[in-house]
Amino acid sequence: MTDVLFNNLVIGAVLFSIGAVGFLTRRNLIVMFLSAEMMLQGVALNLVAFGRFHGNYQGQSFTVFVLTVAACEAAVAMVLILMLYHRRHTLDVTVWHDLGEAPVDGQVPAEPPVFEPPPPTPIFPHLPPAGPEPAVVERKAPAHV
Amino acid sequence: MSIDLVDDLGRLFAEQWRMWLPLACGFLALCATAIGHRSARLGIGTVAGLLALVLGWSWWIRASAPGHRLEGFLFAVFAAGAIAAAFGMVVQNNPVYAALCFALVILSTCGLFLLQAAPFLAAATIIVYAGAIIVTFLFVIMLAQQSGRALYDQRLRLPAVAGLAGCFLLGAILVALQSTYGSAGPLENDRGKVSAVRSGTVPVLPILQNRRSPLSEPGPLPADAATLTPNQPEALATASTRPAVSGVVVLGRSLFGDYLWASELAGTLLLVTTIGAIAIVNRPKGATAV
Repeated sequence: MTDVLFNNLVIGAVLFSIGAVGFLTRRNLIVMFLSAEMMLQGVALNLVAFGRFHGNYQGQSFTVFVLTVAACEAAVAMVLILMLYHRRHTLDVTVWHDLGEAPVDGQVPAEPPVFEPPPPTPIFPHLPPAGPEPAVVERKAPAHV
Repeated sequence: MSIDLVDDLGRLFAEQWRMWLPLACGFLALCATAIGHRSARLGIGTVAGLLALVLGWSWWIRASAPGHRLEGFLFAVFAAGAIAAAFGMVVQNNPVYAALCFALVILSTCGLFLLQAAPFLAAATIIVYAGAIIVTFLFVIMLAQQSGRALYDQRLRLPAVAGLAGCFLLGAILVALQSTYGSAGPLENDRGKVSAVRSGTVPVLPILQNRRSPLSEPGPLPADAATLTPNQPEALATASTRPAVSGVVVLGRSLFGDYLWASELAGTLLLVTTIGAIAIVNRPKGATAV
C-alpha cells in the first residue's frame, strides 16, 4: 500500500509543479488560472491517496471542500478577468505591471510596454421601434400546375 | 566553508542523478517548446518530454504487485495521460486548446480517483470541473477574445527561470518523499496505516489517531454513536447492528457527521460567492438596463 501511496504522491507532486510552472510562465490570464486549478488537482490527488492509505474517508471529505472552494474561486476569478478585460481590452497580464509598488531602493522600474487599445466600438442603445407598423403584404405561393 | 558546500552539492548531484536527470529532460522540453521554430518545438520538445516521462517513470514509479497488474496498468494510463495533458496545457498557444488539455487532465485525475476508491469524488470532479468550470472558462474566452492570434499567447514568459523554479520544487518534493517512504515497502492491506506503523516505516502523528472523527471510518457506526447524534438514538441502535458499510455512505456520514460545520460553511461560501460575483459585474455605460 505504501507503493500505491508513493506513486500517487509523485503524480500529485508532478501535477503541482507543472501547474506552478504554467502559472509563472503564461501571460494569458485565463491560462494562468487554469494552471492554478491544476495545482489544486494535484493537491486533491494527494488528499485522496492519503485517505485511501489511512483507511478512512477524511481525505475525500477534505477534497469535497477543495472542490467547493475551487468552484467559488473560478466564479469570482472569471468575473474579475472579464472586468480587467473591459478596462484594457486585453487578456495580457503584463499590462497590469504598474500596479506594483516601487522598489525599496527608490529606483523607478522601467515603463511597461505602451499598449494602444483599439478604439472602442460605440454602444448603440436599444430603442423601441417608432412609427406605425409597416403594412405586411401577403404573398400567396404560386399554385403548382 | 565554501569548499564543503561545493562538496555537498557535488555529492548531492552525483547521488541523486535519478532525480535531476528526468527533471533536466523536462526542463529541456519546456525550453524547447517555448522558443525556437516550430519544427524544433515539435521535435526536441516531444523527444525531451517523452524522455523525461520514461526516465522519471522507470526510476520513480514503483511497480505494482503481482496480483494488482490491472490496477498498475490503469494507473500508468491515467497518470501518463495526466502528465502529458498537463505539459500540453502549459505550452499551448491557443487558450481554447489549453482549456481542452485541462479537461484531459481532469479526466485522468478522475480515473486516478476511481482507482483510489473514490467514485463519488470522480463523478463530482467531472461534473464541477469539466462540466462547469471549463465551460465557464470557454465562455469567458469567447467573450474576451481578440481578433486573430494574440501576441501574448505566442511566447512563454521567462521559461528558463520558471522551469528552473519548477524543477527545484519538484526535486525538493521528490527528495522529501524518497526520504520519508524509503525503498519499496511490503504489500499491505487497506488498513495500511496499522501495518506501516507496526513495520515502523511511517511515523504516526497523534492527530491521526481518529479520536475526534470516528464517523469517517468505514464500517458500522461506533458503539457510542448515540452521543454523537442525539436526535435519533433509536435509529442508531439499529444502525450499529448493520454490516460494514463503505463508499459514498461513509463519505456522507463523514461530511454531515464529523464535518457538519464545515459543510454548512461551504454552502454559505457558495452563496456569498454567487452574490459577490453578480455584484462585481459592472455594466458598461450607455447600455439600457435589461
